[in-house]
Amino acid sequence: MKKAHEYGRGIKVFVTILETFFVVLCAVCIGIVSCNAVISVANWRNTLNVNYYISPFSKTAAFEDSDVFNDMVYDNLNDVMRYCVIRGQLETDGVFDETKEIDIEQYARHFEELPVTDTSIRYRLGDLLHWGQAENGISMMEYPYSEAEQMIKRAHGETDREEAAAEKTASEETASEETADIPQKDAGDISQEAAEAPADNLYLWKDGETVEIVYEEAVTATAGGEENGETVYEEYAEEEYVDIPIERYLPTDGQSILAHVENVEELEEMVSYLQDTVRMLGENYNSYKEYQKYFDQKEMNFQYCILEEKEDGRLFYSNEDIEGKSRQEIKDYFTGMGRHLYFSPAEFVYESNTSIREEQVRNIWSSYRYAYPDNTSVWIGVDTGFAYNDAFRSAWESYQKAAPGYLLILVSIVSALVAFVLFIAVTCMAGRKKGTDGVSLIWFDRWYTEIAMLTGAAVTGAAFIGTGASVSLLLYETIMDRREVIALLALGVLVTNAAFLFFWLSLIRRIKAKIFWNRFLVYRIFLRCKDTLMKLYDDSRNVVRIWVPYLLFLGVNLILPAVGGGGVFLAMLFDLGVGLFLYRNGKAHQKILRGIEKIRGGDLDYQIDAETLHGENRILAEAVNSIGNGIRQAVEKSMRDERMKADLITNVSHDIKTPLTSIINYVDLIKREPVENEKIKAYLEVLDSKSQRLKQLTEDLVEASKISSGNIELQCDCLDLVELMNQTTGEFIERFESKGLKLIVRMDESPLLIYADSRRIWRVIENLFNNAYKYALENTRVYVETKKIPEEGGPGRVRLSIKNISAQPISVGVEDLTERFIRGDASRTTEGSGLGLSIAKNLTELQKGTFEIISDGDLFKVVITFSLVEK
Amino acid sequence: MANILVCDDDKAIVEAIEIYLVQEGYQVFKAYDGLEALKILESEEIHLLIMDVMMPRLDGIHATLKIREKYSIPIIILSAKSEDADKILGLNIGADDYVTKPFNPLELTARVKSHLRRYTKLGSIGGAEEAAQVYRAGGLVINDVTKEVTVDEEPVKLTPIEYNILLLLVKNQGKVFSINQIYENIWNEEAIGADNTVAVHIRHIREKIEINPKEPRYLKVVWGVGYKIDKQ
Repeated sequence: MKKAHEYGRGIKVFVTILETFFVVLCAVCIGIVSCNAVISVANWRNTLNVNYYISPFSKTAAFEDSDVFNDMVYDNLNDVMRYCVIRGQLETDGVFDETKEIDIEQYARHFEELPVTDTSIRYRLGDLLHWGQAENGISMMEYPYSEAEQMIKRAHGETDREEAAAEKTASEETASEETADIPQKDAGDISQEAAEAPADNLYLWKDGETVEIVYEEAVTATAGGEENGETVYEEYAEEEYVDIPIERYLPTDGQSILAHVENVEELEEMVSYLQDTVRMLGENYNSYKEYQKYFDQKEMNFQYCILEEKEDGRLFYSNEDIEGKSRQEIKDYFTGMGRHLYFSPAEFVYESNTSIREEQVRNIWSSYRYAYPDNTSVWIGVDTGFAYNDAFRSAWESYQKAAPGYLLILVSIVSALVAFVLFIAVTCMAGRKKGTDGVSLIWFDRWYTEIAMLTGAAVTGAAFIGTGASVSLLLYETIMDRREVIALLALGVLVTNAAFLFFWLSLIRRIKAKIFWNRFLVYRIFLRCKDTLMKLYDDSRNVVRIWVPYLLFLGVNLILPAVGGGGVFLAMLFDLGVGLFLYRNGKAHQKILRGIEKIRGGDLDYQIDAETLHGENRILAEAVNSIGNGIRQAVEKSMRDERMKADLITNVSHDIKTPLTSIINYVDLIKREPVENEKIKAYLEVLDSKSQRLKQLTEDLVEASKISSGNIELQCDCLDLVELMNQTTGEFIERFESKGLKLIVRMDESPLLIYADSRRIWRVIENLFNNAYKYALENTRVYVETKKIPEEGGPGRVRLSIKNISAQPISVGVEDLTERFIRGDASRTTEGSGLGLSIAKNLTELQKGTFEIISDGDLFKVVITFSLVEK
Repeated sequence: MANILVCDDDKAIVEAIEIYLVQEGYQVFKAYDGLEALKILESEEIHLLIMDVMMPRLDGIHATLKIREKYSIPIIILSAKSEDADKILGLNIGADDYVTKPFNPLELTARVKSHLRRYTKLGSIGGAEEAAQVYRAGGLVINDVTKEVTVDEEPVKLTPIEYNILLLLVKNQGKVFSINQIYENIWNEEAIGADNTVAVHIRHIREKIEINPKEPRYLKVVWGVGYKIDKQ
């Protein structure tokens, strides 16, 4: 695997700071460009600044062609038309006239252009404005519906009665209202006033009281169970209430509003007109005052003229002196200005060298259509020399100052790119620490992933939104030093970037360290639950482990189907799950069994894959694996030891043989010399026989150790055991006869074919015959028998036995006879190494035969069996 | 007489061999390692070499390889190493015989005689007087006209049955005869049942023609199968 790059702390901090720097640089550049794109113009109403935006890419046109200029002209046009409408409402012959009479219905519905009802209630403009300036507008009192009806009736009646004294009352009331500019009276004052009022007003109050009494009577009547009383009660309960204004000012004819209406419905309608009129006039009056200051100036770059041709002359609004000028003269005057606009809906004419479109003007026009007759003409002109110091001039100056943003935009793009590249670099470097392998993590990286991610999103998002909100607020809503705004922006971006980097790099480190998923809290909880369940399952005792799941299974299968159709389905699902679980368990079991079979069969290298198993099965599999390992190690060790032993014996025997050669040779040489002394002759015989025995011993020792360590090669072939026995008896018969031993051979049919190594099997038989020759009691019989043992489904086995009578009592167990160097103690002194039987046994077993020694008293018997083969 | 070089790092063994060989009338040269042996071979005319394997300076195997580059004299390896693998190695690199220590002096001298005869006489006499009735297997020669058997020029006395068995095997060198086949060939009657008569005769023949009957050079026993004389 490629080794991951490592980075020192210094380079990482450096790159991070650099990245932050470029991000902030980019933000600052964009901020400056945005600030430069705003031209703040002092408003003609002197309230708030109005901001106009210039695109940083399009500052090629002259100011007069810019959007800023055209927007300003449009705004001025809109305002001046409204101003003129208000002037028409509030002025008579160009002067504010508070005595002007306003028909409230006509005014309130002036937008609708509908025919007005014949009811005409007129108030003085001044009265309406005063009413509107009061804190709560027009004060109202609630009266029951019937009462209001009565009041209207009385007002009419009163009118009739007072016809005669009309003059006196009217003059009195007018005087009192006009002179006393008293504050508005509340309901209490009114009642007080009513109480003190003349008798004709007094009953109004009394009447109210009567109503209450009637109300109470109705209640008592209900108690009395009278039919009439109950009816009355119901009537009152459902009655509506009507708002009637407290008439601080009366209409121009001096009569109450009640006298002008026929019924309650009309009264309510008129009251709502009165309220609307008062409210709208109040607003318009305020606007009027503001506009007046601006649009009545003579010395301004914006010129306007709204001309209305009338039958009795013409009505015009303008800040230019056009008195007595003809239409043509006016037109020429405005056409002579740098930018101008002419609109005449009657002639369908629209002329302009501004970029304001006709439909824009027409939109304004139609919203004030109620105020202007069709034959109105509008001229607008702007002095593009900007001779007067006003909003246009200051906008023009700001526009000249605003630098094109190309350089800054370029810088911001380049910084953004550099910042991005550095960001990638920081991302790559994350977690690679110099001098440590793998991914180095900080404390935060060990937080649970989802908590960390949520925290990161919250902190970064808060910083981002906070920066954006505060900057836009400062930039557009209040007048503030731009440098402060930029500084704030830089700080905000710095904090946002730092927060984002911190969380982002943590995320990257998690992914690099491959802990992104396993640090999920949900995942940890899942794992913990799983472990706990497994542990519970493993630890519990057999009874619990088998009976609890069984009872659960039984319960689910009994209860769920009883619930209904869905239950049956759920139970089936559950059973399917249980089935799968049992199948998996069974498979795991089979796996272990197969492993055990393999190991038993001698494949000691076999390992059961315990990783995929769980619970008990896993423990079982691991135990089997370790047993297999143990056996393998033991076998390997013993094989190694045997081989080392064999090598050692071989080497030692070489070292013994060389001096032995000299001993044997020189004993032989002495024997050839003429020796008279009989004693010396006897000694020489001893030396001769013992040195020969030593020779035999070393040879047998090497052979025995080699055979028992399996360090020999077999060359097996098909042999006839009968032939072998004939050959052997041929070799031995004369020696046996010399000791008076009678050899009795009993053989089954010939041939008896076995599969063995010719020389090695001869060695076995030779050893056995030698053994019999050496240890059999003289003048006894030695029996050699071969017998075929049939076997089903095969050629069967052959059994070879050699029996003789031991000359000496057999003093050791038969097993010990085949152990190396073990012989009957009494026969120690005779010739032979004592290894013969051991060699015979090992060789037989190497050739897949069996070898058994049986002793019964003095009877000594060796039984060998081999598998027969078919020719 | 022939000159024999005995090479062994054990002086006692060299001297013992010298005594036996001198008694037989050979002239003996002595060397105590491979390099000395090579030197003597250069300066003297040697007819046979007896060499140990495990020696200092130059061991018997490497010495034999070197000698075989120039000389074709008989080489008998005399070693304490008695494994089959050792014997096979020794014979394969050019030795003519392999005798293991401790050795029987009579056997060693017999082998020396045998090799010398074949080297000095048989090699030159060759098959000039070879008649139709003479059968040969290595040093074993059977003259069917005179009914004489010689092993390395030494006459051997055999009974008529032994002679017929040996003749059968020599005539069919390399072929393995089972006891029954031999019986039917020699006695001219069917073999009934198992018998060890043939085996006893074979043993007698071996004792007469072999130097060491337990490790026969000519009449070999294939245990469990039969008897044969290898093609030589």
